[in-house]
Amino acid sequence: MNKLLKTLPILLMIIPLLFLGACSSTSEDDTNKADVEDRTGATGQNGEAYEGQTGGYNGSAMGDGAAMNGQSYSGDPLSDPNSPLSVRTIYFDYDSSQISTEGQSALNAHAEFLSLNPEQVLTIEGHTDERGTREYNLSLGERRAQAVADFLMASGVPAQQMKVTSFGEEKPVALDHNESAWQLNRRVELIY
Amino acid sequence: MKLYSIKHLNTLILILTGLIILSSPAHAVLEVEIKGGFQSANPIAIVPFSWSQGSSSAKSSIDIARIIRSDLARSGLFSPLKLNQLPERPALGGNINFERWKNTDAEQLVIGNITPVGQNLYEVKFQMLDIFSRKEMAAYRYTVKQQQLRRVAHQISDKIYEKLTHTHGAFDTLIAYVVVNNSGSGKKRTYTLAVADSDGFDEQVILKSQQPIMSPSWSPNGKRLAYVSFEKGRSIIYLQELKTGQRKVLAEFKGLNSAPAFSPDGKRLALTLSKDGNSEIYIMYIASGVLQRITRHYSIDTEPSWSPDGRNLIFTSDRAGKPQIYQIAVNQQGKAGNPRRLTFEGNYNSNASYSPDGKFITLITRVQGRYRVAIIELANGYLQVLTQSRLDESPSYAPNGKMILYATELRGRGILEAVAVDGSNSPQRLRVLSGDVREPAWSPFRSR
Amino acid sequence: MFEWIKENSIAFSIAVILHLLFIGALLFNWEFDKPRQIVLKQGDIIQTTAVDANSFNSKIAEIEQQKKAQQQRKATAERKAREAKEKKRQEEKRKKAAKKQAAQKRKEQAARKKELQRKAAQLEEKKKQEKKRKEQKLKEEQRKQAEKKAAEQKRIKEARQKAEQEKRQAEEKKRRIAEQKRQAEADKKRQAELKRQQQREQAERERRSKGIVNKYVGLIAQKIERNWRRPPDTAHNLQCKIDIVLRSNGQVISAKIAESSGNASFDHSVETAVLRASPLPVPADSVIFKQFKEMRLRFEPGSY
Repeated sequence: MNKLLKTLPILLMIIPLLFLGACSSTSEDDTNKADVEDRTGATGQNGEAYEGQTGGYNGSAMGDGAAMNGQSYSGDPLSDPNSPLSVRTIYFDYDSSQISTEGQSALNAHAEFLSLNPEQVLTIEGHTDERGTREYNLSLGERRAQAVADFLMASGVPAQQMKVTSFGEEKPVALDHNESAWQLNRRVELIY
Repeated sequence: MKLYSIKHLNTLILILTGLIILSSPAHAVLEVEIKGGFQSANPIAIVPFSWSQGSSSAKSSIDIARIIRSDLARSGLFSPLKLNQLPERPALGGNINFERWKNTDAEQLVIGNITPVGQNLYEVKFQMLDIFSRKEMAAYRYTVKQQQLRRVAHQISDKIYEKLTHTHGAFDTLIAYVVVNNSGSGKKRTYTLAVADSDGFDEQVILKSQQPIMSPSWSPNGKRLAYVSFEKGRSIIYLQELKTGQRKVLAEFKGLNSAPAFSPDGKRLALTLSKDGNSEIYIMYIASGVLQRITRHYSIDTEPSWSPDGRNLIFTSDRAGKPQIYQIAVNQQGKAGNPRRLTFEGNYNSNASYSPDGKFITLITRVQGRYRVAIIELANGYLQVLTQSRLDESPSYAPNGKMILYATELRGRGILEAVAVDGSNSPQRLRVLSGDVREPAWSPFRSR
Repeated sequence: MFEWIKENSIAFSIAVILHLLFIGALLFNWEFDKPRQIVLKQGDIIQTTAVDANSFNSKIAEIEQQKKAQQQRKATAERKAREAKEKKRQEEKRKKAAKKQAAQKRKEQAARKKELQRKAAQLEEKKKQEKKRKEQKLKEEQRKQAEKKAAEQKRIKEARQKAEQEKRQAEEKKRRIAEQKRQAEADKKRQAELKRQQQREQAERERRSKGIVNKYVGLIAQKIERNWRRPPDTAHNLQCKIDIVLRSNGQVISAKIAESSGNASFDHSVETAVLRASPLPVPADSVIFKQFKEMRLRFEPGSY
């Protein structure tokens, strides 16, 4: 119930943006688009299935608006910055692998997506901040990634659709040595 | 009458003096108590080595005396005199004005000479003299190629160290470490596994990768390195021959393959695998690949390290909520006991390893939010923090147990430092290389 | 009894004579038999006692004896008449004899008296002579006494003279001894004064020497302490003793570890400290220096 309440405003925000679908697709990073296009090509069937699923998904949540969305947006939902699937990073507290409610809502979308796209494989990468020792952090990163995988599995995603890995503190996104940088580095990245 | 009395007095004095003289060797030897003194590093004069016969390309590139000075200073036990403090620069075998040397702080004097003796071949000789007793304390001769001159300097440092501290020197050793270079926009990183002399010079690249490299571990014979590389997108343990560069995968199980640690006999490797769900400690027979599972707990168990006798492993586990150090007995069949917690001070203790004599462990402990190098005396459990830095990592004992090498940061950049285990000197910074230096591992003694 | 008489014959004789004289003078009718009768009676009693004892043994013949006694009594009566006649005749005979005896006795007594008188005269003469002899003897004794006295006086006089001489001599000797003693005491006093002076000087010397020794011990300790650099990695509880030999200028000739600390680096630091501090400050006084020539130094970092 809580989950639904949290998700609702996001979805409500997304609706008006969906009308600008064509615009948003052009604004994407070129390399990313290439990567995504490659992937879309390889999974053409997936794209269709997604469309249909999206319609169903939107229908259940949004009613009429969903049908309009389905018609107006023809791209890969994974490259759609307005999709809940665009949330690819789950953040954690220090020395914790507890998934926040924000993280859970994003993961719900991914679980849905993965259930509907059984050929999609998700790589779940655990990371930590620089504090503490490297090998322990490597294991801690894995524990975070595993926590995400467990959540997705509980949401119906089969294990074979997921690859869990950890980089520990080896791949920070923020290079500073302060709390704001550490917050950004304590994360699990979802990579399709 | 007066004459008589004077004579008498003289006799008396003679008798008394005789008594003093007679009695003094028996019991009345004057005993003087000397208290205090001052504790400080040994001042030693290392005179720049002289070159026989003209010029050589090596002459400008290698300064043996300087390498020795830097080695000795880094140990914390010596304070070599600066060049401008040397009253003279005697030649090997030449006259030494000891009286002038006595006016310096120096207690010993090291004089050396280098002679080219053939194609790219040099003879290095040195002599150490005690300034106060004027006795020769050491004298050695080496004949080496130019590229070995630096190593000879470290070997001379070891000789001096051994003569004056009566402990095996560890200057002629290697260190392995990882350097990260952020190139260009900062998006692309280059990870380099490198090996260098104990002073950080003569760096040799072992592996370069766009993906992280972690946890180098020396084989007991010092000829191989095991490490973790993410070059395939996840952690895999490799074993590499240093001389040939040949390498092979040791562990690429599902999940993590990390934290390799050679057993003292070199036949086994302790490692962390998560193939069975989460991080657990295993032992692998290197030749056969046979695995023995050592821990079995839903918490994180990692960073194994062997006791010098090979009978115990210590490792990090957060089975009590926060990472702490545990010890477990092992034998040829694997696990031989139950984990016993070793650390109770503080709520973050990790990455422990044994001292070469097995009496201490070094580890990282969190003190007021800062991660510092500490040692624990196993006999009594006393924890002593050795550093004052913000974020230290990967403490590694020198093979003589006298220093600990570790990674720390300087203005946001990873550097290497060494600290004396008795805390007698401030941390000594190793040569600062470009890039972020991390995960140092001190090699075993080298065969000479 | 007889022995006693024998032993005291003179006294006994005198007693007997005196008795006789007494008796003769006062009792002219003395019965001389009486003592003899007494003696006899005594002998009878002894006999009777013996008969009584025998009569016990002859009890059986008692009746016969009684018969015999009857006959005897008849015979006795006859015998008694006979005996009475006899007795009367005997009595007259005895009276006649007694008369004759008495006349004889008077005659004898007169003779005895004459003899006694003669004896008394004789005794008187003897006494006279004895007296004369005694007087002579006394005279002689008095003479002898006088002579003896004179000799004694002479002797005393001589003894006194001798004593006086001896006294004089003794006094002389005493005086001499006193003189000697006085001289000896003076000497002794002088000696004592000298000794005291020497002791004062010695004490002063020792005091000064002790002060100097202490001063230089302090200076030496200070100089070595300043030069004692201990290795950084050695424990604070180490201790080491070193024996050193100095030249008179304070230069350290030798420094040998006497008791090692067990830590070679520490020991070496001690040796170096001594050599580095050389020359050590030592007293210039060669006598005092002798205490410094060989020393033992005890090194300990102490607690801090």
